[in-house]
Amino acid sequence: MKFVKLTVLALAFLSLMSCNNEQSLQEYYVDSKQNDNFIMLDVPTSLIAPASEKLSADQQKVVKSVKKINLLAYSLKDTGFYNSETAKLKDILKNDDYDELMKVGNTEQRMRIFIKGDEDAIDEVVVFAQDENKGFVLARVLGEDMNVADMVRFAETMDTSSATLNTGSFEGIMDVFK
Amino acid sequence: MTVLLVSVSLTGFSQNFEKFEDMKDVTSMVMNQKMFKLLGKMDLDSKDPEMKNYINMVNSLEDIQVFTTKNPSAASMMKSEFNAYKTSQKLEQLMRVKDDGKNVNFYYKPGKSDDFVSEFLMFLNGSGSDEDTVIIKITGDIDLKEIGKIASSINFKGSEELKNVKVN
Repeated sequence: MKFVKLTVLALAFLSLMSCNNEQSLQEYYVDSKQNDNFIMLDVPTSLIAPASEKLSADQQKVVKSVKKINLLAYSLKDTGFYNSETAKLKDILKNDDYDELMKVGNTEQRMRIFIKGDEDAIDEVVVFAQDENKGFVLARVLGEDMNVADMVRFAETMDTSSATLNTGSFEGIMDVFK
Repeated sequence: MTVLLVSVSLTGFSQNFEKFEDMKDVTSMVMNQKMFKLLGKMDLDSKDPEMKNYINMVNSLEDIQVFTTKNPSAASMMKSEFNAYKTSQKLEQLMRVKDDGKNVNFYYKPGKSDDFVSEFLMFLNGSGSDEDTVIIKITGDIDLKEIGKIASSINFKGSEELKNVKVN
C-alpha cells in the first residue's frame, strides 16, 4: 500500500516537474529587466577594480578572473510579489546547476550562497539574501576559473579603508537593507 | 503544490530537517560539502600541523545543519521531527548531558570504526522554558574526538554544547 502511494506521488511530482518550464537564472535576469520594481546593476570589474599598475601580477590575475558583477534588488512594497519572486528564485537556484555552499537564516532574514563550476575554478558565485521586511538582493559574480583561495589572499592584501576599490556604485543597492 | 509538499513530508520522503530551513522563528545554518572543499583549499600550503589536521577534518565532512528556535510551536515540531528521525534512522545514543538545567542528547550512526561515525546529532530540548531548542546534525566521516573542534569553528548558538562530548 505504501509503495502504491509512493509511486503515485513520484509520478505526480515528475509530471509537475516536466510541465514546469525551467527558467535559468540568466533568463530570470533578462525577464526582470523590463520590470520597474527591480533595481538592477551591471558592473564590469574594470570599473571598480583599482588601476592595474598598482597591482602585482598575482593580483591582476585575480582581477582578470572576475568579469562582471550583476545585482538585482527588490525593495519591499508588495508582500505577494516578494513571496512569489523569492519562491521563483529558490526554484531556479535549485534546478539550474548551482551547488549550494551554505545558507544561514534567522527569523526574518535568510542568505544563501551558491557556486557554479569546480571548487578551484568557479565560473559564477551567487548570493541570494532576503529580508521579510525589506526585500531581497541577488548578487552574481561572473568570471572564469575564479579561485577563492586567491581571492581571499587578494582581499587580505588590499587595504579596505583606502579608496582603491571604488564601491560607490553599490551604495544605492545597499540602501535596500537600510 | 502545498498539498503535494505536505503529503510528501507525511509519507516520510523528507527524512531530514529541511523544512526548518525556511521556517519563520527558526534560526538556521547549513553548510554543504562544496563549502568544506573550498575551505580546505583556502590554506592548502599551510605547514602548520594543527592546521593540517583541521583541514583533514573539514574535508571529511559532508554537511552541517544547525537549527535553533525559542518559539514553542516550532520547538515542538523540531522535537517530534527529531524523534521520528531518530527512530527511522536507528540512531544510537552516545550520551546524555544535563548541564545547567538543559537536557542535551547526543546520537550517532556508526561509521567505519569505533571512533568514527557517519552521522552525529545533537538535540537540546528547550521546550517548556525560555531556552533555545537546538538540533545539530553533522554527516561525513567524523572523528568523534574532533567534535569539540567543529564546535569551536562553527561558533553558533547551541554549538557550545558539543564541547561536552567526551570519548574514552
